[in-house]
Amino acid sequence: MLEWWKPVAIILMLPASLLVVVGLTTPNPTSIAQEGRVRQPPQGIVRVTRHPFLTGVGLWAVVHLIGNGDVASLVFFATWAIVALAGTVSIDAKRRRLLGGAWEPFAAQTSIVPFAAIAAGRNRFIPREIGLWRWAIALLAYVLMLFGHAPIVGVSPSPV
Amino acid sequence: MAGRTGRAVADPTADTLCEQPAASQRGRYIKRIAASILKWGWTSPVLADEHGGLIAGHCRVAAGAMLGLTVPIPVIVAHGCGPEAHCLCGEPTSTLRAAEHGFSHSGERAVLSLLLAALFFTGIHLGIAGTQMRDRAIGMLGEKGYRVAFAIASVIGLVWFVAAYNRAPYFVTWGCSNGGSRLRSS
Repeated sequence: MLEWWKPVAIILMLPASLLVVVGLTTPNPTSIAQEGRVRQPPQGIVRVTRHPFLTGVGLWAVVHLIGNGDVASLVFFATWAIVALAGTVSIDAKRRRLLGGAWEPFAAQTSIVPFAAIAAGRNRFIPREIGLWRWAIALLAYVLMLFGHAPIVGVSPSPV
Repeated sequence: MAGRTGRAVADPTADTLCEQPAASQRGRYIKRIAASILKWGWTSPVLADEHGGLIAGHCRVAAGAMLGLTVPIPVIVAHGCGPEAHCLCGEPTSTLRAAEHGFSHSGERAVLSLLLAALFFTGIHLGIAGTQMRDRAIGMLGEKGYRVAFAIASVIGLVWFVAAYNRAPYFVTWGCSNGGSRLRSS
């Protein structure tokens, strides 16, 4: 484990936790069996990225890939990163195939890369749409993992 | 080859406890070592090269970190065992590293298993679910049948992948530079 990377990892895992937890709990036409929502305007975290869960998992994987620095971790976390980040493109292709013209307006208002659509002026960020309870659960999950990392995984995320 | 700094007293537990590098067992070992340190103190020096890189004693260092120790620890310095000799960060060819990690054919099998699990995990998610092979699978199994089959394959793949990762031996790539410890974190 790279000691110097630990503070960076602690910071980056906060947005990763937010993306994963809020992504899992937000209705999204890119989620399984929710294709019908594609005609509704994107809301909450979907404004930030249309693949919040996968980008969160991808960020988690990259953070741990850099921080661990051993062969097994390279294979393990690189696989997660590839599956998660390539999965975003793969799901887009699948939805485009399935939904045809209905997909394009949704895709145009959203982005894979977080905040890209907002930065391009195709959408805007409305934090309250995410809902206080989602922010709270994500923050709780982050704190639990931060303090539970040493007893659960056996490695303290705090720099020595 | 070895020079000595600090004190050297036999530690009855630490090296024995750290013979297995599997991550799944490491947390438990480290906790036991931490308990031993609390009870007996730091009884045995760790082994480092002349550049300050750890060669042996990673679990003890991790246990010390877990306890929040900030005091200097006893160290034996192995001269002539720098990075150019691949004792610390290079290929695990030295006797020291081989003995420390207990590397054997079972280690090679564990790495192979990890690679196969990674291929399987990637294959079902990107190769099948992410391509038109999914449509063909649905044609054969039906939508519901495909979802059940995919869920089962996905769970099996995930369990296999995580178990293979936990069993895989520890070969450093860049993780031991700048005083980093050889511990994995997920």
